[in-house]
Amino acid sequence: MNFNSAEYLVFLPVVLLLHGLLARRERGRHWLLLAASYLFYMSWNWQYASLIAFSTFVDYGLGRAMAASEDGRRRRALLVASLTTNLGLLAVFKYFNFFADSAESALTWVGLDVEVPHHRLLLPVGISFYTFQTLSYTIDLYRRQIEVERSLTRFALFVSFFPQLVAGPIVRASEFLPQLSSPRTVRAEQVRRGVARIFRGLLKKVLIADLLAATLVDPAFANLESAASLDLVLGLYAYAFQIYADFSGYSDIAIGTALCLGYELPENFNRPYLSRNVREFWTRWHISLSSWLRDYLYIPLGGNRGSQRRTSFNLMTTMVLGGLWHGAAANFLLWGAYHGLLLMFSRGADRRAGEHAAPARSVLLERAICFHLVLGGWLLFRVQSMGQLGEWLRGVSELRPGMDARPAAVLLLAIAAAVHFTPRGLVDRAQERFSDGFPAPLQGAVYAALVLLLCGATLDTSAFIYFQF
Amino acid sequence: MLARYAVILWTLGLLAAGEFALELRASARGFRTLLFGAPVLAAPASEGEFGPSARFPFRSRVAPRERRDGVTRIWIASASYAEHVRMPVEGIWPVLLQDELEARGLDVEVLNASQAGWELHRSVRTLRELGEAWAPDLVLVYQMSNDLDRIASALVGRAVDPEADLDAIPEPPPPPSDLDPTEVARQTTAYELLRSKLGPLVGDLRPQCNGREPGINAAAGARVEARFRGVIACGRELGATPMLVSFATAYPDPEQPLPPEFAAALRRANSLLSSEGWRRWVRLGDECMRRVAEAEGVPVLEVATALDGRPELFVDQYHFTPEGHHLFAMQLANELEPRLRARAEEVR
Repeated sequence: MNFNSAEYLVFLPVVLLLHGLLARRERGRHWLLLAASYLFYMSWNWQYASLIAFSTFVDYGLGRAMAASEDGRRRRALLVASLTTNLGLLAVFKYFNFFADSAESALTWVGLDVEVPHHRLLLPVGISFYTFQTLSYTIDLYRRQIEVERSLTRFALFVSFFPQLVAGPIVRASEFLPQLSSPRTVRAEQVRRGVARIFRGLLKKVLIADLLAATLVDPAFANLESAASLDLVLGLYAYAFQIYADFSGYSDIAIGTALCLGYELPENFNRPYLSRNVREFWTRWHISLSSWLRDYLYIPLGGNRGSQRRTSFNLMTTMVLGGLWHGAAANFLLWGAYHGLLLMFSRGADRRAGEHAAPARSVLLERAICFHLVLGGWLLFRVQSMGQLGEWLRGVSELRPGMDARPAAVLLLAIAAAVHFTPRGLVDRAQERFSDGFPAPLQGAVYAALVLLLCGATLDTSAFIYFQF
Repeated sequence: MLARYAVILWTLGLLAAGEFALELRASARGFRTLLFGAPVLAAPASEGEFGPSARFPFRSRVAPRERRDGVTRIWIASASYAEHVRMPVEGIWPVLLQDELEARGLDVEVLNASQAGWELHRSVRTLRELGEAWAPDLVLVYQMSNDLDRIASALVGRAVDPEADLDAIPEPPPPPSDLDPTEVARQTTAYELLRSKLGPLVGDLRPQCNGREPGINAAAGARVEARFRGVIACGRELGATPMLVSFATAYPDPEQPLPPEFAAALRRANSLLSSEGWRRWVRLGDECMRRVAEAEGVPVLEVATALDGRPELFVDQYHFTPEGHHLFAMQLANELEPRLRARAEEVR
């Protein structure tokens, strides 16, 4: 059940209305949301709901045991058990075949023709997201940063809350469990703002991400051998805005849906292409993942507290693992390593700038440079093999003449860029003015028209990109 | 409590009201709708004279399932060009063909197994499902554009679904479930209306294939040939004689500009090929069809030559006006008559 599907158009109002009917009955609401979340997840693959349930039971039990113990070694063992279980599941479902392939290649390279066993299991949707979410709980509990959750229902709902279950934002236990523990009141204003946010996300997804994919990105990357150089370059620029609109659109819908239910999810994006350097980019792009990696990986590795070499190592390790989090493939690993390198150079450049007071560059130039550095990373992210990467580079360097892209599609790309670079405050204010100031019938009419527009413009293949991670 | 959700209720209420109004309008205009079901069409010339019905699943003059001695059964394997639901059934070319051949003293029954959107694969499946029971003597194949659309989606729009085995003979679609919101949404009039209005606009944004890429053309040609070979083989398995009919279009010359309404109609059906590319592919398909016919020893009935390039006979690039249906039937009768007489001689 995609957020941009007819199923969700039925599912969401039913859940919201039932949730409204259960006002002042928090337990009932939690059970309703838990059932809805499992139903939502099972619409993809009902069997894999057992995986979430398994993770839930394991971490709930380990959490209770950890809270009951003051023995440091026992607490540590319980944490290790949680890490092993959750990362083990992730490793089996997501990385096993990748490492089996890599081992096979390595053995072939040294002259051994060995067949390493593979599995044919489908990757459970959203496994990377909910695994990180449950890990945040046991790690924070181990660090004594949060209180143990005694209610299994509330804990299960924290793990499986449907608005952000399959593609984030990755919500920390410290952010969400307190919201579940206090009675939520859903106000009309919250519903109005939530619905506005949902439609903002849908517009990004359907009118920007999907159309850019169909008109510029997919045609270019499907014809790497023969596409004109300009089409290849436009395809890459379009991909930068496609992936932003796709993923931030999903986050908008998740945040809006949660708001309609009375919960607040953290922001996941903040105009990332306005960043002046790659470090800033990672504070604006997929914020819930980058902050998770910072707090649970980079800082425990030592962060920037050690030598320059150690900091570089920590950065590279964090980013390579962050790349692998997206998928078990060489291009994601390279993408992570590329960003690791960019971050290392960015730190070095900042330090030198601080020492020598380099002449101030214009903000615009810095943003342009940063954007194009990130764009290089998107190329690694979009190609499906190293062969494709080579074909893209050859296609661009050969300066093949012509352009197949339609002018209207290029205009769409320009609009997508303009939308992204429009100051956030302006868009937020306009959205609030609409949701707070316009009468409900008028808002309903606008939304009904938008539903029709989105139905008409929705392409058949329009799953969110980040579902695969 | 409801006041809190006023925005959502207004949205859903207005959507429901809009859909109801659109369905009412569509039903009054003779379309099938979700709420009102099948339209009450004008009664045919005489009650029970034409199918389709439960006992006679063809859009042509009703014939008994049991064969009469001496009759020649002609199976029409085609699509919307022969079904043409917006035309009175008496005016479509399969019915006119039967009338004309009977007027020329030939005893024939036409079984018009054509439906909008069907490709050769779908025709094959229908032939397999119904062919044995209805035992046709001839299988007339008049197909092209739907196959080209499907092949274009596989070859030109491959990024959409690169692995789909689009040339596999499709299984019968499962009966639509009223509980499947996607299916229900797709049956709504609003969805249909918007898809037909916005679809071409979205399609216009895509780069379109102009039919000049040798690699894609070769792959498309191979698929077209395989499809024609499939329908010929199926006809022969049933003991019938397959015959292919050349495909007629309003503006066959790829270089000739298309009137805007014709171009828009073409884009609605196929947004992956430019109007130039589409016409090049029709030529390509025609060449492939002839190659297959020659290799298989199957005749090609030259009907298109009488209609090609005469837009006054078409409502769009390939659907006929009443005059077009009439001329097509006459031309086909001219092509068939000597063959049917020769066949009758052979039988005697």
